[in-house]
Order: sequence, then C-alpha cells, then structure tokens
Amino acid sequence: MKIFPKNWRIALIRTGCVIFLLVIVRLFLFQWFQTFGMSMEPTIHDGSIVFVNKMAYRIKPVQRGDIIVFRTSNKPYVYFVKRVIAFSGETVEFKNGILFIDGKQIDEPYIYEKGNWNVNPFVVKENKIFVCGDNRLIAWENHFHPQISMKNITGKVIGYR
Amino acid sequence: MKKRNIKLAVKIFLLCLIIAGFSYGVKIIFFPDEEAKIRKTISMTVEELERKDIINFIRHFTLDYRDCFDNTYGTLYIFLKNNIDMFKHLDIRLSQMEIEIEKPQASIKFFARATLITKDGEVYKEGGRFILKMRKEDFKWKIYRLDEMEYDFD
Repeated sequence: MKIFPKNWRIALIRTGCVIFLLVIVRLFLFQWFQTFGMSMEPTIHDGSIVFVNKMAYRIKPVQRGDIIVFRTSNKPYVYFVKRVIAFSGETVEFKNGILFIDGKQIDEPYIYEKGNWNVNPFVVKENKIFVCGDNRLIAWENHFHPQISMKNITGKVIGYR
Repeated sequence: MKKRNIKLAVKIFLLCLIIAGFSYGVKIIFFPDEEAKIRKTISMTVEELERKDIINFIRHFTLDYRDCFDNTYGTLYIFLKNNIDMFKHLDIRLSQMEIEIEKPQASIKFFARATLITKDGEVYKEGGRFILKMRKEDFKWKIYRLDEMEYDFD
C-alpha cells in the first residue's frame, strides 16, 4: 500500500493546505476547552469538553441565557464557562433562588435546583455583561460571577460532552 | 550528477541537524540558563509536594518566605506537616509560565490548578493565577513570596 503519492511535491502541498486550514479554523472559527470545576453543573460536568464558536457574536449579539467562554484581560489567561444573565444597566436580584431582572421574574429552565440565593439588587456596570454559573447549590459567596466586557468573550458554546 | 548533488545536500543538512540537536542537548543538560534552572526548581517543588516529601519541599523556600494566605516559612512547614497525611492524592498542574529575571531576583507568573482527594474520598478542585518571587541563595533559586493575582475583565 502506498502512503505517499508518487509526486511528493503534490503530497507536500496537500498536507500544507490541510494544516493551514486547521490552523485557520482553530484561530478564527472554533475552539475547544476542557472544563475544570463544578460551577456549571448540572449542565456541563467537570472534565467535559466544550466546543466554542468564535464567530457567533460577530454575526449576532449576545443573548440572555447563552453559555459563553470568556477569558481574563491579562496573561496568564484563564478561561471560564458561564451563562449570560444580564446586560449593562439592568438591575439583578435573587430572591429565594429566583432571578429578577429590573424587577421582573426571569424563567430559567436550565436550572434544575434553584437553591436559596438571596442577593440584594445591584446594577450591571456600563458596557459590562453579568455572567453566572448554573450550579445554584454552591453559595453565592463561593461562586465566581464577574461582570465582563465584550472583548473578554472568546465565543459561544455550541456543544459539550 | 544532479541527483548525486541533491543526495549530498540532504546528507549535509541531516548532519547539521544532528549536530545542532546534540549541541542543544549538551547545553540544556550541562550548561542550563537561569530560566531553565528556575523551571527545574519549580517543577521539583511541585513534584515533592505531590510526593508529600515536605523536608525537601521546604528547602526551596527562604526563611523570610511570606504568601497571600498569611503563611511564613514556619507556619507553612507546620501546616503541611500536620495536614499532608489527610490527602490521599494531590495533583498540581502549572501552565502559561512567564519568567522575568532581574538578577538576583526573578518573578514568575503562572496559572495553577490543583486536584486534591482526601482519605475520605472527597475531591477538591481549585485553580488560580499566581505570581511567585524567587531569589538566589547559596547558588540556588529559592521562593520568598507567593501572591494570588486577581482576575481582570477590563
């Protein structure tokens, strides 16, 4: 069985093209990450692989409820997976685990156990997005729930396993 | 004639490659630079902690060591001595290490994540960005400061 075609130059060019395409896809279109931690349980389990569409928010704006991957502004970069909860200027509040935005109750079908978070109302800062994990059984104080900028977002999670 | 020349060129190229690889290997093994020494010290420190070898682990710290958890050289040693046997397994992984050397000191930024399994089977996972300060004492790089870096989303 022949592994390489007779004309090695053609084989080399083909291999180069495939590598180039893979690099382009990895740099600009899709990326995958392995998760570490339980803040997105039960939606995404610890050690799962998440697939990220890096072009998603160049076409459509960020939607409430989207699962996103974002990273710190400075090195060493740390990547996080969280769900988008509220946008700039909106008032967020939790009463007995139920989310209220601008005083209106928000349905969160992705939350299996609501927990009992009680958080006083706070306003999301200008040009920021408030993100939070799905695991509401972890106390609010022990959860990492930052307000991030659009430029911190790597992309939208399109799948996980 | 042309084919022979190509063969000769390939042979010379391969020979150069082997010589370069060998020289690089000799340099790394026998004449490591300061950055390589720092990397080796950090990797040894992590390995010794994972092996629960506290005696050798603590030798990588200076006597005036301080960290963001309010530990000193003494309290760190006592804490580990009293608690290390509670853990069945400890796995520490460092990545994105950035080393800046300003002799006789060095500053190392990295991302660390640790998985810890207690003897009761409980699993703890933590991750964070840290900045480690080292300086040379007795011709060896030693840790004198460890601080956690805040996450920034500006």
